[in-house]
Amino acid sequence: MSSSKGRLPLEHLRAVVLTQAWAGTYTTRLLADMGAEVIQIEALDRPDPWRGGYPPRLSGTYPDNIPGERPFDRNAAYNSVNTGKRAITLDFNHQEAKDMFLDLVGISDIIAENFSARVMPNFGMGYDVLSEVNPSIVMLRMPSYGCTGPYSAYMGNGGTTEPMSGIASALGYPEGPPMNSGFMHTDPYAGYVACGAILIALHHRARTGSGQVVDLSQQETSIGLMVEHVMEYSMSGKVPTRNANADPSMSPHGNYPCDGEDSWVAISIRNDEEWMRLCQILGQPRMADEPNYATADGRVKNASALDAIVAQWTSTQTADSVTELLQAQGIPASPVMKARELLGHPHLEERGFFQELDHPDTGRQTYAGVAWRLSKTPGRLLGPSPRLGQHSAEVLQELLGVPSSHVQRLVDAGITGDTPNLND
Amino acid sequence: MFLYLNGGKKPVTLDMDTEQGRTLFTELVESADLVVESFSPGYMDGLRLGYGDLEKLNSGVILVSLTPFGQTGPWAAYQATDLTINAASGISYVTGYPDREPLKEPGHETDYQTGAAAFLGAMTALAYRDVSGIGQHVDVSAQEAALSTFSPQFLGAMHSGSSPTRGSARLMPCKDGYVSLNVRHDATWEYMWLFFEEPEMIDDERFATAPDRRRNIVALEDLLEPRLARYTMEELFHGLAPLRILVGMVLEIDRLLIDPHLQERGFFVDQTDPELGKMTMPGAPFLMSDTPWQEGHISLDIGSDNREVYCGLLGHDDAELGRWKEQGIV
Repeated sequence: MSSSKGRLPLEHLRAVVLTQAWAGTYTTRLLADMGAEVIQIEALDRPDPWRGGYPPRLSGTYPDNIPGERPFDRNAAYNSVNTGKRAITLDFNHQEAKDMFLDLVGISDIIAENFSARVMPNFGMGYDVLSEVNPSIVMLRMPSYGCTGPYSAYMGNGGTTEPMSGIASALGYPEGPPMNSGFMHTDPYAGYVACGAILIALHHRARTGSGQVVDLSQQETSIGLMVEHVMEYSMSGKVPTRNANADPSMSPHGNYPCDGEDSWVAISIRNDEEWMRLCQILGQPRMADEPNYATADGRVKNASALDAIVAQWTSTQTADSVTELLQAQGIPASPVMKARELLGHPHLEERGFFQELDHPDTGRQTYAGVAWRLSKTPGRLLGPSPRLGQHSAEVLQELLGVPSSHVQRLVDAGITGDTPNLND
Repeated sequence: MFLYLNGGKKPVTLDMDTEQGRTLFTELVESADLVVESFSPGYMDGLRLGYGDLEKLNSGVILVSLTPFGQTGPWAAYQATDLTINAASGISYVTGYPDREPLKEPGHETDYQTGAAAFLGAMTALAYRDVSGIGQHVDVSAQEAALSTFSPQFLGAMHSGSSPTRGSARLMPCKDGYVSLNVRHDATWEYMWLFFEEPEMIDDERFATAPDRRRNIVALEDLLEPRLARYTMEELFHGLAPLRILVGMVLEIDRLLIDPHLQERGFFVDQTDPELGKMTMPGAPFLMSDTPWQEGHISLDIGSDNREVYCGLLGHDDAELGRWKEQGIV
């Protein structure tokens, strides 16, 4: 467990963020993992949709499947990507809330938001306004389609980014239609890239003192996952086809059925040498001499015949035993792991990847840990994800010097607080 | 791909198994901010060039190591490809149809995730060095970089007690392709029927609330299919998106390259290689207002910058370089 105290690489930085859902909140969680103080702002009448809504419109995953009194504090989606942040609520329809936000901007290093491009300027809080308040501020803007261009006013999410980036057109079975992954996985990749953009801007600021604004389009970061297809088309005019797990230069290459309920093993044969070793393991050493299969080209051409041979063998074995047999011969293989099988996986356990956190509304839960490890200042999940508005009073009082009596007036006026506005 | 992945770099060659090669490498380390490597765990230590050795040469240097499963643990020596990392991170199991084999994501997604995590490891280590002067070793595991992107699904499985199953999302066919369409919210449900000019459908009791629409998804898709078939992707996208409906066109690569939005943003760049001709590739991953992206030169010639680096940067002379070439060191 990487829960020991110690210096963290970004503990000298403060971010005030309006990020919501996944891509943006993951970006700013990565900053928090590395020690940055991250203050997450929500509106009481429009909490982060990843909180899963509130009765009667619930759409979350709750401990023991019980939404509880504050379901918006118990949802796995929100709680997985807001760890270690402080959450405050402010209603920007009030000038006083905007003024307090600008005061926070004045004492922060980073602003991040992932609304569609028109939202922040419409609030009168574009980069021109914010940089006037704090010229050294680094601002990340990451709408689905970026800040300029004809689609920039359109809303999007992973469900639209996957098709709009070419990814959906390449995902699917050979004879079937295109598909979306179903879990909007382009979001966290955009989050990785966006976090990198912030860190580059900070590195530049450390040298020059000046901040800047980053315009990141999630459509474009996602196209970055399709480079090989883009280049192939531009050079050969070939539009890639959906081909399940097949690879243009490796075969066998796929997820093969194993003994067990919905159990599969992934196997990649990268070269002729690995092919010969696989033939031995399959108990068919003479197949290594078969000229049709001797080269990668030949194996790719005959991929379906080879897949059938491999599947016939794997279906009599467990995924773990196939993995051990193949890896002992230096061949890439892994069970196709179910989410709950990851917990307790001996390799991840020994590396201390998972981290347990206590949350007032969900109890003790195990979380996926940090994505990279620094030897001297390792990051960690700093704490559980905040409850809605949990830190409103403390942030306004401690950082902005708002007297507690006035905080109460702000709560009474519905500008801040910790209870969502259910009138929607 | 080599050209895209190596744009803007200075290619040099070096045989690090020779004593002279090792010395040249240590000279480079002394002048470097970052050292990035993706050898098997222990290989750099075996050359006496592990982080402990590099730190003695340059206390501020940051060593970034990328491997499939990290530097430690029982799987540290295991081999991997993008396919097997998709499997080992939980991603494949949920991708595809329930009655078919699990799918990996297209392309080499986990390789890019790993590269991005290493980039972040380097940048966070640099941010710490900016304030402390101290370098360190960054250990990046492809399995962990991919699994971290799966953290909402992982925590969901911890909460609910069961693993999510395969449930890739069906896309809706239309006149000339497919669209993704999300009309769960009541307002977007209404707008959609106004777009189809059938306002009476708004009150169809089978689909009165978002949970009803989720529950009766098959009936809903049957209802929508003939209507969507009347429109092209473009007509649906530009008709529905301004109504705040989440709609996406399933763009094939050829269509992507001529997308007017991406063209106006200048996203794709063309480069010409003397041997391979003109090729198109993604440009800047993000746009920075003060420090614009620098388009890298491309070169297929390994070692083409030997002279610039060994003579220009490290101050050796041409005679030495000539000797090292003869000895096969560079």
